[in-house]
Amino acid sequence: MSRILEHIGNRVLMGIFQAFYAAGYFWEILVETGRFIRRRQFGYGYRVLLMQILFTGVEALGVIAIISLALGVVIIVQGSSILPQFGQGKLVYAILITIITRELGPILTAFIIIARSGTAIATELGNAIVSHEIEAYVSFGINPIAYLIVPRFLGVTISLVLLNLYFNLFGLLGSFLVTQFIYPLQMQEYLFNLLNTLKTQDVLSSLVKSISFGVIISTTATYYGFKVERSTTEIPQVAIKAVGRSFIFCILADAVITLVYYV
Amino acid sequence: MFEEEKSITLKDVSLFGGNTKILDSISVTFPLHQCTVVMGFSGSGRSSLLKVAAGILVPDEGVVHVQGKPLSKMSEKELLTFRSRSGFAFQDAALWSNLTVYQNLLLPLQFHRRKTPIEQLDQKIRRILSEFDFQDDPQFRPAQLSAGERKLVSLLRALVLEPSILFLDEPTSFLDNVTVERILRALKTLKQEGKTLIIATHSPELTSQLADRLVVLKGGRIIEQGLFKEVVRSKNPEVIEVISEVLSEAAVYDTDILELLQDSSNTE
Repeated sequence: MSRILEHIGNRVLMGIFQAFYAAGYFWEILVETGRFIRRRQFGYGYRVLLMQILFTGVEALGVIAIISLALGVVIIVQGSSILPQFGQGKLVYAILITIITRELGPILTAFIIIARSGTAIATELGNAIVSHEIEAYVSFGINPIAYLIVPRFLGVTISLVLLNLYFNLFGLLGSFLVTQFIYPLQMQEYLFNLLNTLKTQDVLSSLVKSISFGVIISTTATYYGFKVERSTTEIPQVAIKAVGRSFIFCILADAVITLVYYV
Repeated sequence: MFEEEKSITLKDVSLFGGNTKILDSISVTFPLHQCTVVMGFSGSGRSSLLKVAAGILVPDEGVVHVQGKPLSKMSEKELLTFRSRSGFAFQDAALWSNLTVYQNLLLPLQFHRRKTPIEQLDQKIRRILSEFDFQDDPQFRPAQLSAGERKLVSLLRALVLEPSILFLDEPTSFLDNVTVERILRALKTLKQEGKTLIIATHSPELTSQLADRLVVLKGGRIIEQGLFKEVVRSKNPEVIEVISEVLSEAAVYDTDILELLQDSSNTE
């Protein structure tokens, strides 16, 4: 019994220690991000930032476009065929805004970025540790957080905001154009009703969600990437943890932000 | 003893890797403007000792003083100055794999010489590459190079800032004889210029031709340290065992050390 209690106690203490460590790590990222923006450090950091936006933002455009278009088409077709039967035809716009703008836009882009960039970042950093590249940065006085983490932190967050905007554009407007081939709607009426239904609160919550998810994904992926100590076999393990934890934290943050905005 | 202001000094330094003690209460002095060779079996903690002395690894116990000042208490600016005048060549090269050879050499220069025009930095890189007769395309990534070339680039990267303190972890392993000769000549020149060299090596050539002082490690502990000629004459059987086994190739390359070792065994 005492051994079980000791084990539980150790796990709790370890959990508290790790939470403080993660908080300290996040604080360090924020401090270095402030410096990065204020000081305009030498070009290499900006190059990494641009590469990160290219990889996370630009290269994910195709996937995001297909998913958002398909989703928008499904909602418009289903809503326009079912809802008028109950005299609630205009509810399709509210459903579109709720699903595309408020909920699925931010969370689906986050999921895609976790799968693409979260794993890539954790793996890349893990490899850099095993091959002593991080030590090489330290040997020259180059702070790895400033030059490796901050550009990824900013790159993923900026990309997520832009991809969410893109998801919304494709989900709300692109899908309308596709639907014309199956279920013709009046363009003017569609846009008028859509903009009438869209509230500032919806845009703000979507923006806050995508920023939060970007912060969560980049921090979690880099944190776990740095957890690798000496062996390449640790790399897939931390990548899996980074993905799993990012999913959990994003869903929890989604719930909290939705509660704050709409309850 | 050496003055702390003129040396890098480790006091009671211990380093743990999980539950294993990699370095065990090490106290050692690396005098400036001299060449100290750290010797020991593989896994004896030589690389870790160099990394702790260079401030790359933070010891779990003990203090590292650089010219009398504890590394842990240096301001950001002081630490950056120390970094800019020290260079570290890693045993496994540790080149930045996402950068080309050229960018690997450019990055430290761009970071520490922010106001220098890029043309001058470019000239410097081209000069150092040609001095060491780097044969491949500088636009190659490290993965496209042989192990020896990677080691060479790692050494060039350590030299690119023209540091006054050089930490070299096995600088000549995997290299062909011609390149080893070239590196040896360069290191001799650096020594003559009064640079501080701290080298972990198995090479009898480097040891016999460069070492002013010798530090012998075994199982994470220092078993002997002092002037090179005194240490190789040590009567401590552990020291004799380490030196003779580590330098077992000495008979092929250089007879000086073995002669010294034989002298010391004969006088026992």
